[in-house]
Amino acid sequence: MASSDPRAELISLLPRLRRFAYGLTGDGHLADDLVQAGCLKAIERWSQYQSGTSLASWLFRILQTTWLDEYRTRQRQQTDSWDEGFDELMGDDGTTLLEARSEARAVRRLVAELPEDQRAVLMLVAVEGLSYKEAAEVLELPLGTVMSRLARARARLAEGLGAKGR
Amino acid sequence: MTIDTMTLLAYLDGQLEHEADYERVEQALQQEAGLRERLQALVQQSATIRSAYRAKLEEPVPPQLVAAILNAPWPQAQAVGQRSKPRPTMDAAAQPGPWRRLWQHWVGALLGGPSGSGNQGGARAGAKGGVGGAAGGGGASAGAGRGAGAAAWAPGRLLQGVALASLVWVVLVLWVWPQAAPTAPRPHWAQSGAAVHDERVLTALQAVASAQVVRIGTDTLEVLGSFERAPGQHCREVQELRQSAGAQTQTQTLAVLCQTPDRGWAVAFAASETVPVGAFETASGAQQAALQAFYEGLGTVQFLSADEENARLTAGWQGPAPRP
Repeated sequence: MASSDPRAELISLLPRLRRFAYGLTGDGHLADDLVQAGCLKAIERWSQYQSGTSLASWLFRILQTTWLDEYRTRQRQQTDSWDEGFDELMGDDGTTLLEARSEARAVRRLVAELPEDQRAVLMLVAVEGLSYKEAAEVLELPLGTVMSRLARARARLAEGLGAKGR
Repeated sequence: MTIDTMTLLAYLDGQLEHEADYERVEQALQQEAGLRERLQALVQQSATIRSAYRAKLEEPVPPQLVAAILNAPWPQAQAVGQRSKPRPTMDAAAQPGPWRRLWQHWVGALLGGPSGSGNQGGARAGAKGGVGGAAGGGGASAGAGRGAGAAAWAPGRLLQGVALASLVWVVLVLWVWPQAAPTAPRPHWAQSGAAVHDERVLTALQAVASAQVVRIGTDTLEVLGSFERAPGQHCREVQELRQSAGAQTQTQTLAVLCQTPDRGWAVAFAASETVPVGAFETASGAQQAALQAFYEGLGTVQFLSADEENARLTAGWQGPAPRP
């Protein structure tokens, strides 16, 4: 589908975009709002997308900047609106132990508490699987900064998870 | 010598730059038990982080989100009738409201102001990238395209009189031509086995849950149900209402579209009828009967439940449907 409607591509990216937005916002509803705003923005600015580059990266960038510019302030007013409900959707393979759930929750809470700049790097690399170079491009940061932020974020998580005495 | 966390992490993520760096880390790992433990902890943490967000990835996408994207005004709205050869994906002529865009341009040109020209330059850069798909993706190429676009418009500002004179002509070419195209017959259901080319229909097939109605311009497409015809081959039943030329009548089609081996979709069944415009029509008895006969020819057809369909939608209709 060489000349496919890019909307189809956008839609196929939705699961990943929602996951990334969820990481940024820590809130399911806010994440979907952010994804929708970001996608509509991408459609409006489609002329700026350079074909041949990663559409996912471009959208991550739009989501990240939209989040920083427009949503973050809103979120501050509703800090504790964690939706924990979706954990129930996790595997029906019998491994969905309370322990795993609470650990997942702990991780997400710790991620949400990370400084903004570390959180985006962590989500892009550790969750979305981008290379350091790709993450650096999305966030317009030097490679070294990506590496140090990632290391700091992971050290904080280790600390937090350790402290919770799992 | 010891390895710092950043390096260890880059080693784990496969992001070290040189082969020698890998060797250095591996050597240190052989020698230091403490380093091995640190690496092990990082491996475990990676898995923990990923699994903390796994459920979100697997969660069905809310249909409203899909609908919001499908129904967003698309600045390119590919003119129908251009299917035979790939066209630039961003063609100024094919965008909705070319009249208004042109108007802004020409007003900008006549006033000598910069209004809109930068924007247009961007759109054109996009077009160039879209043609061959060989834009390479560097920021430089977009910059060049943008520059070229701006340069191309500059003479318009200089020749204001000429601009005004030719305005009408240009508008006629760019406005009337793409408008005329959709009135041509669009027999995309014409024969059984014909591949679906309309990208908007493909998008609906690929991404929209059953019982959802997608508006495609003045036309509507409702996905009625999905089933698996053979392992890995899915079909979707749809009903389409398409405005005919002159909008005196509309064509209502009941169709079944099935996946092809190349991951496209093709017509397996289609029955069309012409109905008066305005009335919301459900498929006629004759159409239903023909569809029944088609289904009987297939043997047992079992429609997917909403959950099963959701799973297939999320997976992009690839592979066999998971059995609960």
